Amino acid sequence: MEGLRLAALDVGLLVVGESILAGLGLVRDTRAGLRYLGLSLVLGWAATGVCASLAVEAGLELTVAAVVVLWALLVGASFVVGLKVSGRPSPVLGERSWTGRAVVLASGGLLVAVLVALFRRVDASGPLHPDAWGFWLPKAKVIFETGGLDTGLGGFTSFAHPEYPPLLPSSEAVSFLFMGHADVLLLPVQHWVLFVGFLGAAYGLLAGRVRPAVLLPSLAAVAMLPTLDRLVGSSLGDEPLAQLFSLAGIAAALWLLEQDWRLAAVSGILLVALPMTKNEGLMLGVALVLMLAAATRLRAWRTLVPLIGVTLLAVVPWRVWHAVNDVRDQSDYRFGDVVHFGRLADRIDRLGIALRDLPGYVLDPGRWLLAVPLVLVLAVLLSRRRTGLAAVSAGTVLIAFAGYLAIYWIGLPEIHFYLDTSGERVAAPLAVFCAVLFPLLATEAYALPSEEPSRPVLPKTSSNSTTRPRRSAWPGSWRASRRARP
Amino acid sequence: MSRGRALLWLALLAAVGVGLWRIPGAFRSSQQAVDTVRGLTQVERSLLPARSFDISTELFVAAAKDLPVDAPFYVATGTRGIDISNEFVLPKTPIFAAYWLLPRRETNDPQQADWVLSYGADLSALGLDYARVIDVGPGQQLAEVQH
Repeated sequence: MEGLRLAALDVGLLVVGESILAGLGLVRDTRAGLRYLGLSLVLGWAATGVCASLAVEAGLELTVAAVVVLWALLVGASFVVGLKVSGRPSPVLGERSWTGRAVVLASGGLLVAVLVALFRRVDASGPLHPDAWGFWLPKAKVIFETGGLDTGLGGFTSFAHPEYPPLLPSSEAVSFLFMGHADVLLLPVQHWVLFVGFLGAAYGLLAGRVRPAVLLPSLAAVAMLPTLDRLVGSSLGDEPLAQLFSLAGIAAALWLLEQDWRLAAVSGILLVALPMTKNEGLMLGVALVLMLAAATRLRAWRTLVPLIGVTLLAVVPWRVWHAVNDVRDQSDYRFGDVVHFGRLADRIDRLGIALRDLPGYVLDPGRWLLAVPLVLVLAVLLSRRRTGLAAVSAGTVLIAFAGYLAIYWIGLPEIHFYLDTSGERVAAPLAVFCAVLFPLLATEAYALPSEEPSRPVLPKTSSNSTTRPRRSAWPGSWRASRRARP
Repeated sequence: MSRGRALLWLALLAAVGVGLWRIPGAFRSSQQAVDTVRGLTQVERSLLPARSFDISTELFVAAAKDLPVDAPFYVATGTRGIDISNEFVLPKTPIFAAYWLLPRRETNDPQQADWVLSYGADLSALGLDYARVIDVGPGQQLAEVQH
């Protein structure tokens, strides 16, 4: 019975997600609806989480009825937007050769088998990680019991890290509300459903540019990433953070390649959810948007400004609530310390230790296979012909890595303890981001001419033409795309 | 073949190789997780986080049975009459109690508590009067505070 109620929640999330995608013009027929089913689930989850956390911050009581009203508002707003936005065709690559079909069959079978094994594991698991039962789940239980952010005795703010934003606890509370009670042993199954949605989302987004024979084996590898395998169903914030960041990265990368603002909008919705999920989500979102700005040389500022705006504004409601309610801050670091040069100098040994140990967490094949090094290699291969894509994939990872180094440098806990207890988890967004971008980068690298000319070949122009060869595809095609845009 | 193309093929081979290497491990870890909980009841599974730190769990089960859902409680810890196997047992016990006993609320101030959960503590040292004390197991008591 609880399972059925949870299934009703997922149907609601799918409806909201499909509505958002229909509003953006990405889903206008059944085929596109099926293609983006996974993305719908993740977008529905993100939008519901954002709305639920804003609602509890505003003092509204979170109930099933309130969630349904929020969904109705989201669907209605998407419908209104959809009236003004035209649809876009949704072509999907297929396999013609028998070899390609055989690879699809084998890797599809492997993916299903891995997901079944993962389901068995999450069905047998529970909140075993100390952070899950130390604060993530108790906060969710409090929202479920009281309908809001109770600041009283034993309430939401009495648990560790009261400064962490409430998107994940609110989402878990929504799951509990639909279940009818706070069943923490069923919750991992819901996380598994969202993980399947995450893989489906990556498939749907990339299916227009990556062959199934490349995409399915890559997604099977993502499902087998050893540390991600342990994170799914853990109820830790790093699990949705990694998934949201990775999908925002794919959508942003596709926006660079296709210059379709709809993909930037998808990325934007996910970027809003990022800093509302975990505090370092802001750093990850800013790293991605900064690299987009660099890759486009700010030429697409009409799209970039809203992206930067929503990423930064997403933290404001929670910060306001935090300040108004005078809640203690138990952060492991203070961002302001980055500019306290004396303190930085005093702690320079921490930077050395982080520089020595953190790469191991990110690059270790036993944790993340070869996701990060392979993407860095592919980015180097793409750096001349697909400069923007290479910059966004490698640059975002490097900036975010530098951000984590800075956090360990200015962090308050003892550095070895800090790295031991968090190093593996903080690497998750970077590694999963790389893992899901791998098939796109590999496809783009494969499409490059095998022998690059030593000098650029100028296109033939008419005798009276003054057209100059473009330095890159970006500026001209962006302008053309904007003119053609509805 | 250009250097770039060779590097690409090398990267693809590495990706395939490391993926194939991971396949047995992916299924093994799933089976291990299933084996860990085989035969456990739902309640026993929900107590596994405490068991993973070697925290005795009888106290929490008894508290869930005897404490009213609106009763604030305090967790006192010590080493009286109970074996403590590692340094995490005592600090983690109140944290687990706060999570597992919700919607009952934990307080850090024994004076605000209606109930005290003693995990190896000396109840008399808290300076409270008790309406009743229930022995749950070695070194573990539930005490109802008399206000």
